[in-house]
Amino acid sequence: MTEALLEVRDLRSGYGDVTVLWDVSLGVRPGDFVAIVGSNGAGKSTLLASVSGMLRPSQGHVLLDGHDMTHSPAEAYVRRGLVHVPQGRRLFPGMTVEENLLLGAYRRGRDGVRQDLERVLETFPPLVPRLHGLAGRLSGGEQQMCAIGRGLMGRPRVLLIDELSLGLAPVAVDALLEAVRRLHADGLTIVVVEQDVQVALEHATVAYVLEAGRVTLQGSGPELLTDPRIRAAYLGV
Amino acid sequence: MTTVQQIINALLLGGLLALVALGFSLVWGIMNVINLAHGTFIMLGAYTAYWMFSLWGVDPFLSIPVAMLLLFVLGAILQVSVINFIVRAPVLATLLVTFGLEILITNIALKLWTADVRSVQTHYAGRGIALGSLSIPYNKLGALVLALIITALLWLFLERTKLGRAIRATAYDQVGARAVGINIGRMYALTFGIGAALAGAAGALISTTSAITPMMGSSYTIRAFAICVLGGLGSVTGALVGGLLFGFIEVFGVVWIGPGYSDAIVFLVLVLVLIMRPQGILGRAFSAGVQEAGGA
Repeated sequence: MTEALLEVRDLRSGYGDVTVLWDVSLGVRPGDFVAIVGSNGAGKSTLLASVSGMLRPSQGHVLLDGHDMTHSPAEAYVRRGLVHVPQGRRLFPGMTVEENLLLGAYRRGRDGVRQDLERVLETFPPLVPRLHGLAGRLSGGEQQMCAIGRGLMGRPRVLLIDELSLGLAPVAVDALLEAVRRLHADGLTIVVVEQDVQVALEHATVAYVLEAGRVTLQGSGPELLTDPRIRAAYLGV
Repeated sequence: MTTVQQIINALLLGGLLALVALGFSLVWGIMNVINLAHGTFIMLGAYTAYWMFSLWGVDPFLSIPVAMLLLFVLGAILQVSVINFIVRAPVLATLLVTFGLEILITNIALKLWTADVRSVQTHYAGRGIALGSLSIPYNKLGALVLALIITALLWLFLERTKLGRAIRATAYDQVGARAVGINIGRMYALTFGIGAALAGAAGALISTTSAITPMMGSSYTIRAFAICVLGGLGSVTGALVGGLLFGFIEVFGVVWIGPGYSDAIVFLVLVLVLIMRPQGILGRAFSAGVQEAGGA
């Protein structure tokens, strides 16, 4: 087993007095495509937020390349190559698509920003004609492309995507999945939270099932797809 | 006086008032803080220019960078120590805290410098360009030109630089901003500092044309508020349009109705605008995209 890129140990986190995650441990190795699945309110988004500096965990540890990042702000994670694509896209609606993408490179120097922008546009061709339009005017699928593109502009080694397909048309979901799969094939480590369990498990090399804030199952995606508990609870078969 | 002269006066006043409102508008639009202490920053800028002129003979126009720097530092310190607690808080909390700051700063100024009315008498005060019957005072023309230059520089900063973009992004979506690695607290400190620095510049310019007292600030805060409502919030062009409009209303209101009614006229227009076009004349509120932080 190779050294974990991202390691989470006994993580406890939540909002105010409400604990959402209970002693969650997991590891992400370079090149993994990790899916985190579970029902609504299981703590998937809380988990992603807690391992990217968006939310401070109350107990436990988050290690990135072996560095303890538990109490670091989001900007420190970004600088170390972990970028979070938040749920709901969280674009800057009154700014152009190009400005949104360039802001993704906020923590970097100027070097290579233009080339990276070209690469993002190659990954998401529908953004090309929209580049100088406002991000708030994009369709849902285009917004998600812009959000992932903005994340890529930070040159991440690990990209966390919270709810890749939520609220999007099936065509858009297919295009996004294809793009994410290509990014993974090119070597990017991906952690995705996804409410569509079938879709998530089909692609994942590693999957974790969260229930009521605890990891209850883990394994490779295809393994979990055939697990009777998963089939009964999430796939309805 | 001729109508042409009135138009000139309105432009001279309006351009300066645009700068008065600019920092107020920026802080309101980006941090959702209605800074009632904005006028005291203008007062401090005016005193900076006054003391530099009376102690060392420095021309008020040359004091602008000093006033801006001092006020930037004061603004950033106030943001980190006080204002940070009320960013995106309910409007009543922001009004209470900034009103308290207003009283505090005004009274410190009273204690330090007394209530004496002061003025800066430059050698070119009272002189100007004469075109037939028209006259353009040098100090007012200089104030207008500098106000426009500073306004243009702020626009360039916000639109064309990485830091300016990050400030705007912070206003649109804090979660998105944090996700790309923007330090929100630093952006707010920077924004409040810039807002105060703009007020400082406005104060230094005002010192060349108006009387300086510790209590001078509040009338500018009220005007800045009215200009923001007229022009729309948080945009540089909005402050410019609102400022010029305000200049015309004030100058022509005085001519047509009488000098005693200038405030009444301005607020009548303000109420009418609020009723008919709550989004301001330009109708593109900067804060339209501002969302509450939250969510997992």
